[in-house]
Amino acid sequence: MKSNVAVRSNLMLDDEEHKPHYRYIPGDFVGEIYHEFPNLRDIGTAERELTEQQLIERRQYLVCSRCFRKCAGTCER
Amino acid sequence: MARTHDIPKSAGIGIDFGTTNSVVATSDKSRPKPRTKALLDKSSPHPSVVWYKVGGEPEVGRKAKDNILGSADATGHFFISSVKRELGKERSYSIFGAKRHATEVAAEIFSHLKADAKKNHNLEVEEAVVTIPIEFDGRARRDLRKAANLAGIHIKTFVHEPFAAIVGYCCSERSPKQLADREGETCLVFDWGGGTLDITVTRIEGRTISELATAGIPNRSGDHFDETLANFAKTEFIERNQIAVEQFVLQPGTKDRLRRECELGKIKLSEEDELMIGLMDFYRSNGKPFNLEEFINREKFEELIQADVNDAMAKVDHVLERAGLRSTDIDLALLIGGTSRIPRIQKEMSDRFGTRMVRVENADSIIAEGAAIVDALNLHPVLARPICIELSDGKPYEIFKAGSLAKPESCTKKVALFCTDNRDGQARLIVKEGFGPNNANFVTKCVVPVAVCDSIPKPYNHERVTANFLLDEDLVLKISAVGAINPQVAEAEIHDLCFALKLFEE
Repeated sequence: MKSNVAVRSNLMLDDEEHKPHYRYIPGDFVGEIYHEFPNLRDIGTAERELTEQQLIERRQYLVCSRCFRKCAGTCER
Repeated sequence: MARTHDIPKSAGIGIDFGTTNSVVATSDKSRPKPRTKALLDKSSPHPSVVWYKVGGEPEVGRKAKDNILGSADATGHFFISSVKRELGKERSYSIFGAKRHATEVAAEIFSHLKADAKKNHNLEVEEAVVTIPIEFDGRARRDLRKAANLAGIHIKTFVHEPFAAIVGYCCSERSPKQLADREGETCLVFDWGGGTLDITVTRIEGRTISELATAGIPNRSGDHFDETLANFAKTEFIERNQIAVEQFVLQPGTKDRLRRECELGKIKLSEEDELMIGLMDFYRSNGKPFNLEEFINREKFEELIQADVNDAMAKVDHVLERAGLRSTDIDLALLIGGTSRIPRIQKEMSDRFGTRMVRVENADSIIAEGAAIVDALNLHPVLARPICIELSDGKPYEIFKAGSLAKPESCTKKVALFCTDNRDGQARLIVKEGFGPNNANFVTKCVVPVAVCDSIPKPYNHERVTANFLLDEDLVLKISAVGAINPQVAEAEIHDLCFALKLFEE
């Protein structure tokens, strides 16, 4: 059976135009290795630096202050 | 290189390596109309048939074809025809206990063409432009190059058969317009030869011939019509002489003589209204010889092949539909290949395309002549569509532009990348080819999985990936990619890219 899951590329050009690199990393992965990027340690900076898509993805990775799990907001429903 | 007195030293050489017949042709460099010459075997192309005999050298060409039916089942004889269809498929033949690859068989045909050119035309064929069908992929092209190399012929480049036909026609005296004057024109090439019917719709734009759509019928061509005529003659003979079908057994070699007679008869019926298929001592019953003397007129022959002609015309309509065109959109409909000389086929094509239909006199050799012109003049295969890779943001990044010269020195590129997500230990290099109007869309040609480090290095360091792209001389795109940390090299090849033919300024 043919899969209907589209394979997506995970490669980006390694040149000056595509820096900083963290802007091209999936948001949940940014969340996982958050502390590796000194300028993202400040939440405000991170909110400005990351793309909207990355922020959505990152929220899904964060531990919820209500249920202490990576619930992506589902515990409030 | 030694050449005949009428072939200038600057001549180009083209080879049409056909499924059924093969031809070598030469061309000089005169512009705009180069002089071409097809090196035929007594005004016919060389049949692509190889005849192996125990303890003897293989026979190739007419001699092999003329004996194929009578000796095919005899011990110590092995015939191979249509070897072109087996190229690129890892096909081998077991000949008297020895294994022979399809490339070795094809090499016999190249050797025969080379020897004939030397013996009968005093022409040394050391390198040539060789034609290929549109659907011939990279594996088949590689096998064809190997076969030519075995025969001592270097293939300078490959050119697609319909493109060669257009070049052969547009650079001839018969064409009212030259290739450069046909800007924006749409041409249909109807190539019905001995083995296959190939129909291709092409567009000439920016001095480039490119394919819009293609279709064909693989196993119903000239040889099939010879068989139809032979069956008709046999049936008529059996009925007229009131012979029981189960008692009708022909002497060895008679089938070959009949098929050859029918082949000649079919050709004559394009010129004459009626003919007799005659063979002395065709059949023997109780020692009494019977001669074959069956008359057939053109009307009857056309009735016998009408179903095949209808199928061919349905394919013409189909290919036009695929190209999104109507018959009125075609500026030139070129009829090539020996079978297209049949008047019924010409009438059907004329009904569709009117005066825009052109039937050429050199229908058997125009492809080889076109290839020779490609060699002599400044014509080169180019990429018909852009090649790109998909980036992690979904955008395409162009590796080679459409129109890039299809040569290793022009199509080589190294790209530095970084892996945006190495958690599964794999970087995915996705290679795509453009399609549709203005190449606005892309279709995935291959996904190259590159092994990368799956741990998150500290301090965080993105895994770098270096990708190399090279279009080789067989028009195969070779891709290799390697990560900076993991030394495992990933490799892939793309064999089915689209190519066009471009006329460059001198």
